Amino acid sequence: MDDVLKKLKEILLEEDRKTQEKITQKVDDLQSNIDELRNENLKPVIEKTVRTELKESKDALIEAIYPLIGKLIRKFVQVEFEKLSENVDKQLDRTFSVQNIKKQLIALWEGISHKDLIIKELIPPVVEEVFVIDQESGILHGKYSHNNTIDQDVIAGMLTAIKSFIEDAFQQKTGSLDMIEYGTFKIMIQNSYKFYLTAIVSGSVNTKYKTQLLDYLELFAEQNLTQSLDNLSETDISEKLKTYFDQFNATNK
Amino acid sequence: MQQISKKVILVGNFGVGKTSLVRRFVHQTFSDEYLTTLGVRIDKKVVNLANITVNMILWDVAGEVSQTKVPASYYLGSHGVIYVFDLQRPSSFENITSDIDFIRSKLPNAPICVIGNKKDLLSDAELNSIQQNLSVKASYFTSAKTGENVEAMFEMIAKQMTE
Repeated sequence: MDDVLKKLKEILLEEDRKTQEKITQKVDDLQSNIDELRNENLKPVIEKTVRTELKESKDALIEAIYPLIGKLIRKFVQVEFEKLSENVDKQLDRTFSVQNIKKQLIALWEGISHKDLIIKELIPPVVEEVFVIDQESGILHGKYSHNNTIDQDVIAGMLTAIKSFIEDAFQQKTGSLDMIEYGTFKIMIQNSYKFYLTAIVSGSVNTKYKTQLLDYLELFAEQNLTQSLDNLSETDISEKLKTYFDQFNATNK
Repeated sequence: MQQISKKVILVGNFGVGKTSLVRRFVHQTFSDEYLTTLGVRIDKKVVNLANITVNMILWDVAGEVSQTKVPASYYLGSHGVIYVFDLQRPSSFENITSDIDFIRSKLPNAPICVIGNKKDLLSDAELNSIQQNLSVKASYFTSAKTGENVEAMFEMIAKQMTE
């Protein structure tokens, strides 16, 4: 009975079966065409559109990813600080070592905290650049540089502009800008009447180092810049700066 | 050859083309953000004259000339001034006499170079008409767009500052 029904079904639905096979084949063909089109034609178009969109909406993109980057940077800084803190703690844990007792005595002698001394040793401060700059015009009279960064004449001009801007903004007749902090750099300013000296320092700077450096900048000015700067060439001042600040860096290593 | 550094300040109304003139002259410039943040941007160009090399430190100042918003200290110690106005915009040179007087009061000894910019947008007849009606004689008519007279103007102020 089953066989008879099966035979009957085959006879009656023959046409439908053939149609179904044709449709399936067509769908498969269409699918393969779409895949081909997507790979060959659409991919470059999509890539180009995305690239153009990124280029034209740079600000919007930055706006969107800025919080994310901020979080990443914050995380990175946090991890680095944790590492530094761990190192300091390790050093402090060795409380009973002879070396540590010696360090505590040095810290006491230098008038800084034990922790500050250890940080100073882990990230020693280095005077990277020193500039002698005309107080009014911002013209550079002499320079000492560890690295060749961007144009020092322009740096001197910009520092003078920043200094003037802040001093004008606060309308301070007697006060002046003494320090600018930028990332891990500290820009220290020692003012004089006709000129000012600027030292750019990297590393960990504690109060004692800062005072020491400002005193040294003053000493340099007293010993070398008392005569009119017009009588000194930029090369002369730069050579003197090199002698003084190479020595300063070596002493504070 | 002897080398000296000189500070040159560029002043003039907003949009007269000061930054474009510097850009045309210096070729390599630092970020424009300084101009919007601090109201000044510093650039440098070395000009070789016959017997001296002049290290020109250019202070491109934003804002009106006598405006109190521009820190007075930006003028301090300037060895030369370039006053720029827009030849196409009369409002940019209607106060030229008082502006020059103000600059003179700040910098009595500095040479002042008066520049009419955007020359490329005017015909010779229009240029003559402006020239005749100007209360202060312009040193040069320049075009930051084509570069016409830009080098010559900066060279002239370099010479004047070394005299």
